[in-house]
Amino acid sequence: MDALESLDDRDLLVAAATDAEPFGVFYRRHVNAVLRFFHRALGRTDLAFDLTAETFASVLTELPRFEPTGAPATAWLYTIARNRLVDSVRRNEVAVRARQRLAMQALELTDDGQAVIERIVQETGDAPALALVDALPVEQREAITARVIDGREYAEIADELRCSEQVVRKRVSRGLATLRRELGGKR
Amino acid sequence: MSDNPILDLERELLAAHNRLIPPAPGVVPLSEHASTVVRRRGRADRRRPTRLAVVALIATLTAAGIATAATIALTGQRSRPQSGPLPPAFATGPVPSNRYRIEVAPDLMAGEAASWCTTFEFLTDTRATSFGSSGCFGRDGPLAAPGGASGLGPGDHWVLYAVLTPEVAAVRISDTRRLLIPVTGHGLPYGFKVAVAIAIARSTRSVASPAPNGVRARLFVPPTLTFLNARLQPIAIASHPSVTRLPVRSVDPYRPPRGRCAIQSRLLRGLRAVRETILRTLPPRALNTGEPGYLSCASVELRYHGLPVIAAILLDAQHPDRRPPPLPGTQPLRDDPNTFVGPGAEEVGFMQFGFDETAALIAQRIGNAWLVIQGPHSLGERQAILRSLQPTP
Repeated sequence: MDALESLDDRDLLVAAATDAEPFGVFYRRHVNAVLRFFHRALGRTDLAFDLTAETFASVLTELPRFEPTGAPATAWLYTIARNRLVDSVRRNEVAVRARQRLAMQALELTDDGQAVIERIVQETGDAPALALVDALPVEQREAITARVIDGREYAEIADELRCSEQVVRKRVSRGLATLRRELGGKR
Repeated sequence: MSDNPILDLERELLAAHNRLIPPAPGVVPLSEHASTVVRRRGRADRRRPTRLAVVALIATLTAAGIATAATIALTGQRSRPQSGPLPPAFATGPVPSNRYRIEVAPDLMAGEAASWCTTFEFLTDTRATSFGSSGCFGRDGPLAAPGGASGLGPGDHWVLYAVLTPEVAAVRISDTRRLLIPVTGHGLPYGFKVAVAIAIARSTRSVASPAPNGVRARLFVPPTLTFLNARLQPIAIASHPSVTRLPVRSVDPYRPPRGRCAIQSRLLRGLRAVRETILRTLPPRALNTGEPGYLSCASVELRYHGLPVIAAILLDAQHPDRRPPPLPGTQPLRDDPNTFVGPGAEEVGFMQFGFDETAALIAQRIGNAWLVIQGPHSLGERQAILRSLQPTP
């Protein structure tokens, strides 16, 4: 595996502050899921692509301010994506501010290009739900993954995470509540 | 342009990256086989064991017959304060700053009892840049609220910090033999203290370069903190039960149920209520939270001109039927002594990504409760939002 590919998202974004290639890896890792996120919300491939471009341009402009916290880097990415989505719905147009700031060339979708996007957004699976799990604060993500996805016992998880069972239960509960809200809000 | 817009977009973004962020002088990018900086913070990193070093230190002290309490007094170095100046090195980072500030505020999310949120901010004379919430937590062992490490200076400079319960007598910083003595601060409730230190990362970890020749890069990692009691013994994190969380339910923020702890949103230009949650049942007369603090019995998530705002009704967590204590760090307004303002701290999963926005509080006593709004820095805007929200009778 490529060494950069083996870095987690947080390290990629930190490294991207001085180097383009880690940013490229981050982009390739998440672009399809972000496209599906927008397509799921708006149902249009052209708008989904446009918002995806603006989102990653915003990620680029915000890079100097990225600080790896306890929350996963994908939470940062999807917060930016959600903000772009909300802005666009409110203004009834897709913002181009970040792309203009970066002096990026406007990308027009050809028919073939549209077909590529459609293939990507039609890929189904658990990606959106997993992306939401990824976007949870790290403590909740660890607890949800261990309990809900891996089906492990609370006591075992608590031992591994060096906290009480009560804390694990709380994290699972909070994480599930967040997921319910997120999934409910996007329907 | 190719027929693959995903590849075209990647090319455009990478070209933009090169225009926007040329490699810093003297820094060779990771992809060209040299060092880069990894700034990490978070519980997982903080928990990396440094216990062997601590045990060795304790063993040395014991063998020398030195009283541990006296040792702390003799060898410990007082922590930097809750807010203060930064060394000149931080003036040249990606976000130039000359000061820092740690904010601690009650958790406003409905159902949370005795839970606290913290935020770390880098400041200049004209700007505050929030570097995100460290989370909202109850007492997890020695941590009143989790902190971590924030790196902003050139290369390997770090600010290490934690908000601590009174049982922590000293903090050991890995990579050094320094012991840090926590200090109290403005707006820190219930004997909580902070430990803040500027450190230079000496540890690195090796990562293979993506280049074909396989040269490995060195990534800096920040020092970690170990929390010690008065006997200089490490205190386990999360050794105590965490906060109490009471069950909540969602209600219509514009038509909340009457006769319950709830907040009614009313029309205000630019303000939109997103959701409201309230306690399923009224809190019992006495709540055993283990620690004093507040209980949020209702919270509303709002957007004010697109910016996140949260409003909540806070009760005394241990005695919900009594008048709750003053909110930490808040001061009454000169022309309205019933209204208090102060710093906020970002809420996990909701307000933690306001990069240029640091939240501020406004609060009013409503009977045996606080109506609290955390939102824009503009006092006038916060007052307008406060006036537009009405606790239900």
